[in-house]
Amino acid sequence: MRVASGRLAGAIAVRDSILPQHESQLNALASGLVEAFSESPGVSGNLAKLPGIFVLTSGAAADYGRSGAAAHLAINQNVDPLLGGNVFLVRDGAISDPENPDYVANTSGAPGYSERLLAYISNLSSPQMFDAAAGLPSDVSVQDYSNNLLTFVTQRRQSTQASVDETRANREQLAAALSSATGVNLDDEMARLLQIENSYKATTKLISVVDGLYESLFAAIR
Amino acid sequence: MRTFGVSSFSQAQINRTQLQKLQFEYTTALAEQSSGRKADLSLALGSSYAKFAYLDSNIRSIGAILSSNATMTARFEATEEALRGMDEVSSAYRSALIASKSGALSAAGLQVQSSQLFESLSGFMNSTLGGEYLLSGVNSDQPALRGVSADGLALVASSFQHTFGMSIDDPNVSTISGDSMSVWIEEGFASLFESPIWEDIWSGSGDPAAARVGDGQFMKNGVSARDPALRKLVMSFVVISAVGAANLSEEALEGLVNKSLGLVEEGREGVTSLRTGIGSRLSRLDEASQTLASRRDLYSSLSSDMAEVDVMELSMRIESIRSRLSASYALTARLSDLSLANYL
Repeated sequence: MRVASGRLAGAIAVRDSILPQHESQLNALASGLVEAFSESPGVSGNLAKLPGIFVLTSGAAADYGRSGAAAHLAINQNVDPLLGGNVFLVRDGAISDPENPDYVANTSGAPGYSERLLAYISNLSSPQMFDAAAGLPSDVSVQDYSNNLLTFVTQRRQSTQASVDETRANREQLAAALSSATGVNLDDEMARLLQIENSYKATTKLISVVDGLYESLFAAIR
Repeated sequence: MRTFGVSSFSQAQINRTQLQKLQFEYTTALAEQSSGRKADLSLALGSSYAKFAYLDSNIRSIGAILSSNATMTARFEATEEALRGMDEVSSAYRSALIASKSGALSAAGLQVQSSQLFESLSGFMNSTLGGEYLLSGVNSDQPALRGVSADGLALVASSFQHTFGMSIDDPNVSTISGDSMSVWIEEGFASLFESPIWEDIWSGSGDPAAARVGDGQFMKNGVSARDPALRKLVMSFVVISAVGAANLSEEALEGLVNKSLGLVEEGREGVTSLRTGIGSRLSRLDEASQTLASRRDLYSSLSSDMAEVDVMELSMRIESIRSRLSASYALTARLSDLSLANYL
């Protein structure tokens, strides 16, 4: 038997399709965030892009490990002062590998250097490729992607709520109809009870009259 | 035979479910009244919630740019103040040079005045704001003018030696002609203030950093001591303090003072144009901030249209829910009284 609605079907749908889709969208967003803050080497183009402020701690660095990215998103410990990192790397570049001069953007070490920070701002609003399998437009900026994600969730929530309301109203009507069809009306029952009571009364009256008739008959013949 | 199509259960049930709905509406409306916002924003807005989120994040980023613009304004104003001070110092220096040319000020007197004025010039050049050197560009932790160091003086001395074949304190410097003195200042001496010697010896300045002042609008956040105008001002002081005390001929001294005067004047012209630049940047900054502020107002009103509730409408709604609730209560009580059993 196929379960198509009800609580169990809902829970199964949440487990099998709704949550996995949201998960893949969140993963795409997390990977996109890592991508937006990633660092390109300054001089030669042969070197790979390295993650910057945000890293995925899953270990598999290739392609930033597309699955489960959201669960592994973390701030690079090289820039986290609580973990002994140097927060100025955000300004200077070479976050993933502070020893590698190819990734250093602020080559002179100037404290007022702002190019890298401006690049972050423009990266956040320029389009990049997201995982298309997540079911959202994929060639958009991180900002737009997160907005689309919000739209997706809130839209789904609104339509689900509407259908819940509709189903609930349906149920109430059905319950009323069922109860009317199979339930009893107390007034009705009371009236019928009175009817029975009256006929009972009338019958007993009748019996007592007949009894009286017999009484007088027996008295006459004695 | 049944006379009614309505069971007693459904008769009571309908009222009960209506009451539940009304009570839920009532608590929602009360929550909205106390917060001023829709109780469940994402449910109320649905697909337009993203628009609301977009507006909200824009309002916050505009706020950040506006506060950084305010800092920039302070920077520009302090820079303008420093440039005005430098202009005043160099104007005083110019008067001293003219006085020395006309013989009203001795070479030694000029020397004293020059070193005093140079001190105030370096004071202005090394103006700071919040611990950052204003005229040092991106190297905001380095002074824009290091002063006349021993290294600097040694460089000038070796260039002098290289050109004239004798040291500055050699008594024979009196044989140097005015023309050759001018040529040395224009070439050998001036080359000591080119990049990268300028950055190595005289100044720790870098190029000004770019800052974001609006949507896609960028602006250099100040003036750098790398600017030729400021270098020329420094040159005009250094040349007098390094060579002015030497045993120069009248003619050579005149060439020296004339060159220094020329450098001061070029420097002052440059400073004036730098000040104009700062002024126009200040007004551009002001315009950018005003544009941003009016956009923020627009976004705020759009977002409050989406998220906030109309207080008048809300209070009317609450009133109507209240009256419906009390009617419903009264009806329930009446209906429960309405039983045949009560009339027997």
